[in-house]
Amino acid sequence: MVSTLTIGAVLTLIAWVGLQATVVHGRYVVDKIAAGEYDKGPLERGDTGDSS
Amino acid sequence: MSDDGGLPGHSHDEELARDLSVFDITMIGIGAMIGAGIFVLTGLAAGQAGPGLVMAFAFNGFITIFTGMVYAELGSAIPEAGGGYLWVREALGRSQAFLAGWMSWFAHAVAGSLYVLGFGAFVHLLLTDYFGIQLFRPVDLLFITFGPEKLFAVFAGALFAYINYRGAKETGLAGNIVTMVKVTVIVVLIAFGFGYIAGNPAQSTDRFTPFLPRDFGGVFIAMGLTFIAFEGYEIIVQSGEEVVNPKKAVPKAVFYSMSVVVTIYMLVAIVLIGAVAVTPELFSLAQEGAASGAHGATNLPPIPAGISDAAVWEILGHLGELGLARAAGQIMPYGTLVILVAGVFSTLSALNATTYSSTRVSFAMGRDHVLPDAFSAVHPEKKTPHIATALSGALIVFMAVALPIEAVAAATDVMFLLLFLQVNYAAIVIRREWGDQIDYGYVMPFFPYVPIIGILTKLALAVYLFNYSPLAWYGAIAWILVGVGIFFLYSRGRVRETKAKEETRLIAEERSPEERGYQVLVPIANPNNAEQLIRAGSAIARHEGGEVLLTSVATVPDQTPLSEGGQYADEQRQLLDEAVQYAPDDVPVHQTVTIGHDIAKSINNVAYQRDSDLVLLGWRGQRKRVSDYALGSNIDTVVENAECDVAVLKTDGTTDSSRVLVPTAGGPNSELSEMVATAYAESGAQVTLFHVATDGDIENAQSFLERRQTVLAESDIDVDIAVEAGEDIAEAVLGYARDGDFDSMIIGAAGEGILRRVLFGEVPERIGAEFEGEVLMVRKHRPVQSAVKRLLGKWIGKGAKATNIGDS
Repeated sequence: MVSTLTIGAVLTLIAWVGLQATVVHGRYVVDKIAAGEYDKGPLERGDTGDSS
Repeated sequence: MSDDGGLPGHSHDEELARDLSVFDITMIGIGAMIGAGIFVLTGLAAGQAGPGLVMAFAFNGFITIFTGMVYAELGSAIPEAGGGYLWVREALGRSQAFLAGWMSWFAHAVAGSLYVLGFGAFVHLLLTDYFGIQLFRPVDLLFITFGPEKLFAVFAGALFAYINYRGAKETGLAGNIVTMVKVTVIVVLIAFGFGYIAGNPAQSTDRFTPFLPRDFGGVFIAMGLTFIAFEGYEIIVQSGEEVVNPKKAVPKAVFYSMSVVVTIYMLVAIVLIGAVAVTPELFSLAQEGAASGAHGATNLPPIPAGISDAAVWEILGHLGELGLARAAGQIMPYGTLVILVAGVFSTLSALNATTYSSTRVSFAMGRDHVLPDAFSAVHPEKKTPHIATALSGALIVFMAVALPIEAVAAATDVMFLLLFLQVNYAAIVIRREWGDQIDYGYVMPFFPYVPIIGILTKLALAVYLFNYSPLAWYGAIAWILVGVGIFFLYSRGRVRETKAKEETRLIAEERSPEERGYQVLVPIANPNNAEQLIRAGSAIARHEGGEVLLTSVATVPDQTPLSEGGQYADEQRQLLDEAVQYAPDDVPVHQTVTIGHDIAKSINNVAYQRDSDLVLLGWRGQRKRVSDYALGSNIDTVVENAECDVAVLKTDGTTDSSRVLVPTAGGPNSELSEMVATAYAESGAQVTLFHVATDGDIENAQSFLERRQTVLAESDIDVDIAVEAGEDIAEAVLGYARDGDFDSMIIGAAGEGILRRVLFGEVPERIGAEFEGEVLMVRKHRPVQSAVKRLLGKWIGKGAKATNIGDS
């Protein structure tokens, strides 16, 4: 039988890792957009290489 | 959505110096989050969640990052001071922005109340425990208990209102020092705590069981209670105008600060539970706290009778806002003193910030004319918004005195949670409406699921807090209801005035020398029906002893500012000059040329600004069966949104109405149609009131019309009456009109639903389309019904763009 403490610790860890993963992904997206290499979401139509 | 300076090219007049780096604003965010909240709320939250406090912080960080992504996206795209309030105003319109501002004012002010209460508790403990100064015992005043803590709270609230009135804002240096001191104190506390845990692993682990003594419900309450400590991204985006390269810096700072702060919070929770033992001293202090009820012992289990049965989280809960400070005494040398001193500085710096921000929100609302102008009054000497400051200070002090600390904390959280609901919704609207025009520095993945999850999780937390403090919810609801009352009684009209000025500009006007009270507004777009419209409008104005206002609207593209629109108006001037020749001599006729981005909105704005009583529109007589519109896009929009009576005239090309049929069934619209018919009769027309008895009760219908006939006869208006039995009203009316050689018909709108898109009703519209002669359809303005319908359309329908037919 898995204890509540173990389940709680695992859930806590998952939430924390999820947060950190979002942070890492966020940084990645910001850098890609700044480099003009991101074309998802609302950028997929406008990002055609034309900077105007 | 404002037409000028809309979101994609949002502009403002004043530029701030851009000298903050990613590191700087990350520190600002961390400083805001590792602030007073952790000093004041940790003990309260531990009492709810138990050792699950660690999980509560982790979960809070996880769900907060959904709104964090929203702030990162919008903050990177529109990095301006104003943050959430600005986005809600731009995306959802001024009515929702009023609510956002109203809640934001309360949220920041009540956050200030939380900090003054924390400050009061810390100072009181410092004085009694470390300086041996005993103050007065708490006294009961009506329904509140007023102790020394509240006295210090009142003092701090009043002091910082005065400091803000004097204009002495916290300097950047002082702010950074306070942030560094409090972060250092917390980091040292964590280091000592982990030192203890490393030395006593078995003991520490035991303190984490049971992990969820109050199940997940306690965790959820702790999450809601400490939510305020996670909203630093609002502060980060407020700094956007002062950041070098905000498109990169703002989203990165939002993410980095969240990552650091949530980790620190979790570590503090681990230390607080794992490194603290229930000593006799802590036990007796908790018993005293529970007995006095001084530390927000809401929703807590009673303290166990024996010290051996007491868990540390129970003790911390009963120590409330002093939980962290008391526990720190065990974790590190002089821990209580250090935490108290750091807590005093933290609460004061947070109080300064919340006094400033609540003042700024109410000041901005005064400047937007949604609160009385006094809110935006600036003191001539101090150059500060003294009235907004005084009222914000009064609100902070009042809430601190009136509510216990845990209710203040919960009320703050509820308000911020509700505010973030709107921001998440605004993010969806902004991406959908202007996503392809905005220059984003970050875009959230899985749109729109991220803001939807943000909305759902925050709503769930806010609702769940009712279990903890119903009083907080009652306070929040009362505040929102007061806001709604102020909005409808005061702000709505001022919002309307502001919008009308923004959307429509008067560029030429010729006034008749004489002015009268009742006004018929006649928009002229087609020279072919100008004569008929002016004839009908003049007849009504004459009957009411009023005047006619002719207007013609020149439209310019959305991209063109209205100030540049004068050159487009020559055609309209000419149109009105030609139309005015049809005006009779006995009715004053004014003419205005207006310019706007949208014809229908401009007509309604002119009617509003000139206080017109009736708008008379021309109609080609063709119903729109395939589109969303009933009679036409402009007519539909004017009729649906008009703030006065409306009439729509289908002409047959003739300029005379000699035989007029008035189908009537009673009610306000029929009364209006009878008034117009009376005006026609005074101009020489022969009028017949007509009723179709669908129930076959001819006698009843006859007596109804006879009563109407008698009323009109008292005003020297002779009308005929006629009744027919029939099931199809439109068919019966058309048949009677054709057989009787009527050349005109005046018909009131049929009953309308709140949700259905009905302009005049099926019967009038069908008659209008099928009758060969002239048809005038009239609709009485019903303010309450119209307001409900507009609100439903705006809030449930398509946001602020619901009535923007120009974009459809």
